[in-house]
Amino acid sequence: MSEYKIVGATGCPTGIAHTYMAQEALEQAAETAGVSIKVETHGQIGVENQLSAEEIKNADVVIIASDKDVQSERFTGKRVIDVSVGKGIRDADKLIEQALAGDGKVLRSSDIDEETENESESYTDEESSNFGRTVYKHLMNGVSHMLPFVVSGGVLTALSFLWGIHSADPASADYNQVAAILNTVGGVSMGLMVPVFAGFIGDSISQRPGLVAGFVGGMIAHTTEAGFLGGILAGFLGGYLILFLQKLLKGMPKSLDGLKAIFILPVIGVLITGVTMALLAGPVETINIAMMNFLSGFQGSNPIVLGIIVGIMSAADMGGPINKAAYVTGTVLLGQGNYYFMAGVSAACIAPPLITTFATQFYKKYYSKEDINSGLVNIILGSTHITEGAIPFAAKDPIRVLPSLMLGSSIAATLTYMFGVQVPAPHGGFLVLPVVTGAIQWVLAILIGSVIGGLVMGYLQKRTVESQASGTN
Amino acid sequence: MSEEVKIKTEFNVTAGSKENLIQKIVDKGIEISAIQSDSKDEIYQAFLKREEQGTTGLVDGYAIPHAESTAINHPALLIYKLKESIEWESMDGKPVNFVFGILVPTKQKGTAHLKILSEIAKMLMKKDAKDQLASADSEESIMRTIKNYTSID
Repeated sequence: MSEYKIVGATGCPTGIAHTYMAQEALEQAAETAGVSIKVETHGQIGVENQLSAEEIKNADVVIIASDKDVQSERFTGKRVIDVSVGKGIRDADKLIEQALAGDGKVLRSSDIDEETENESESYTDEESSNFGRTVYKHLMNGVSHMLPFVVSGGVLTALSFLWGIHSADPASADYNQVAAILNTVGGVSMGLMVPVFAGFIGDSISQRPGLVAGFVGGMIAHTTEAGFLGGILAGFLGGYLILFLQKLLKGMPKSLDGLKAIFILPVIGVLITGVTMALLAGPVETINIAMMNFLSGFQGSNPIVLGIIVGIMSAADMGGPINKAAYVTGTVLLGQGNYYFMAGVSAACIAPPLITTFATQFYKKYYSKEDINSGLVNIILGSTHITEGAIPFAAKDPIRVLPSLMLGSSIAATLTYMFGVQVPAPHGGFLVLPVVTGAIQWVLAILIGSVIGGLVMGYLQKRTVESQASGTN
Repeated sequence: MSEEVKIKTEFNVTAGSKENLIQKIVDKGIEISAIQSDSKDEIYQAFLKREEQGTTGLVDGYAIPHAESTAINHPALLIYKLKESIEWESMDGKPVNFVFGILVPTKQKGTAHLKILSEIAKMLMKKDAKDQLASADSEESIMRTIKNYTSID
C-alpha cells in the first residue's frame, strides 16, 4: 500500500482549470521539496485521484486548496492547511514548506469548521450546532486514537484467558507464564485507553501542547478511577487551557516562540490541568461510579431496560464517544469482577456490522454490489467486535439505518442479560468464545438481534428504493 | 481526440481590456459555430460571471477565461497572444498577454474534452511549456507545445 507524506484536495467552482492547476502546482512543489504527495481533484469531471481513508490516515498533513467543499470532514483529526485554490496555484512552494514545518500556519479542526461554514454561509447562524460539531470532532479524535490501544489490549487480554480465566494469577492452578505475560501486556495497552483518549482530545484542540496537558490529565483520571468521564474532562480542559494561554501570551516577542512551545505552554498546561484533575478526581470519581452503578443496577433488576440502554448507546455512534462510554463502563466493571455487564455491551457492539450483513443478504436486490461486499466483510468485523464496520452504512442513510442498528443491538444485549451470559474479556468478539460462560446463548442472542435488525434495515432500504423508483415515474 | 476540441490561435491581437477580449472570444466562438449564434450575450455574461467568482488571470501573464453553457455546442480552445498586455487582476498582479479562452458545453459534462481542458490548465503550470509558448510565433509551434503536454494529437 502506497503512503504519502502529504495529501491534498483541490477544487474550484467551475472545476475546469484551477482545480488541476493547483494540483499540478502542489505536485511540482512537493517534488522540488522531495516529499511524496497525492492530490485529489474535485473538478467538473467528478472526483479524480481520490484519496482513500488509508492514505488520509497515513499522511502527516493535509493541504486543501479549494473554493468549494471537498468533504473536509474526512480530514478530521488531521493537521490541515486550508487555503483558496488561487493560493494553491500561486504559493504551492510556500504551502509545502508550511506543511513540512509542522507548526507553521496549521489550522485546528475547529478553525476549518468555522471557515468552511462561513464560506458556505448556510450555517453561520447556527452557532450552537457548530460548537456541538466541533466538540464531537475533538471527542472523535480522542476515540480514534484510543481504539487501537483498546483493540490490541483487549485481544491480548482475551487471548490470555484461553489458558483459563485466572491463568495470569500465580496463585491459581491455571497459572501459565505465557498467559501472564499476554495479560500484563494487554493490561498495559488497555490502561493507556483513557490517557490516550484525553491526550488526543487535547491534541485536536491545541496540537502538541494540548496533547501533553490532556495526556497527563488523562493519566490522573486513569489512576484515580475518574475514568472515561475524567478523561473527557482532562482532554477538553487541557486543550482549551492551552488555547487560552496562547491567546494570553500573544504579546510575547516572536523570538521567544520556541521557548513558548517547548517550555512555557507545556509546563503551565500540565501544571494547571494536572492539579485541577487531581483536585477534581474525587468528585468525578463519585459521579463516574454513580453512573456505573446506575447502569449495572439494572442488570439484576431489569435486564430489558439495561439491554435497551446499552444497545442504543453502543449502536448510537458505532465506536464514537457514546458507544465508548458504555464500553468503558463494561471494562471497568470487568475489573471489578462483573462479567455480566460486558457480555451485553459486547453483544451490542458485535451486532451492528452483522446487521448490515443480514440486511444486504436478505434484500440483495436493493443494495449495490459494493454494499453487499462490505456486508460480507462485516461478518469478520462484527465477529471481532469492531462496531465501526457498520459506519459506512449508517453514514449513507443514518435516519433509517441507525434505528435498525439500535433495535438489533438492544435485542442482542437484552437477550444476553436475560440468558445471564458472562464474558470476561474486554474485546475480541467471537474469538473469546472459549472463555464465555453461556457461549451458545450468547451467540444466539447476537444472531437473533442481528437478524431482526437486518430484516428491518433491509425492509426500510427496500421501501426507500421503491419509493425513489415510483417517484421518478 | 483533436476533433473533439476546436482550437484556434490568433497573434498580435489588440484587445485593450479584459471585456473586449472576452467579446472577441465569444465572437470567434460563434464564427466557428462552437456557440449558438443567438446566445452571444448569454455566453458573454457567463464569462464575466466566472471572473466575478474569482479571477482567471494566472501568473506570468497567462489567463484562462472559461464559460460553461448549454448554448455552447462544441468544446473549443481559443488562444490569443496579445500585442499589448491587458489588466486581468491576475494572481501575481502582472498584466496578461497570453489568453486561453475555453468554451465548455454543459451537455458533455464528464467527457473526454474536460480532461483535455484540465490538461491545458496543468500545462500552463509547467515552466518548460510556458517558455515554449512564450517564444511561439505560429499556430504550429503553439500546437506542438499543446500536443507535447496534453493528450491532444
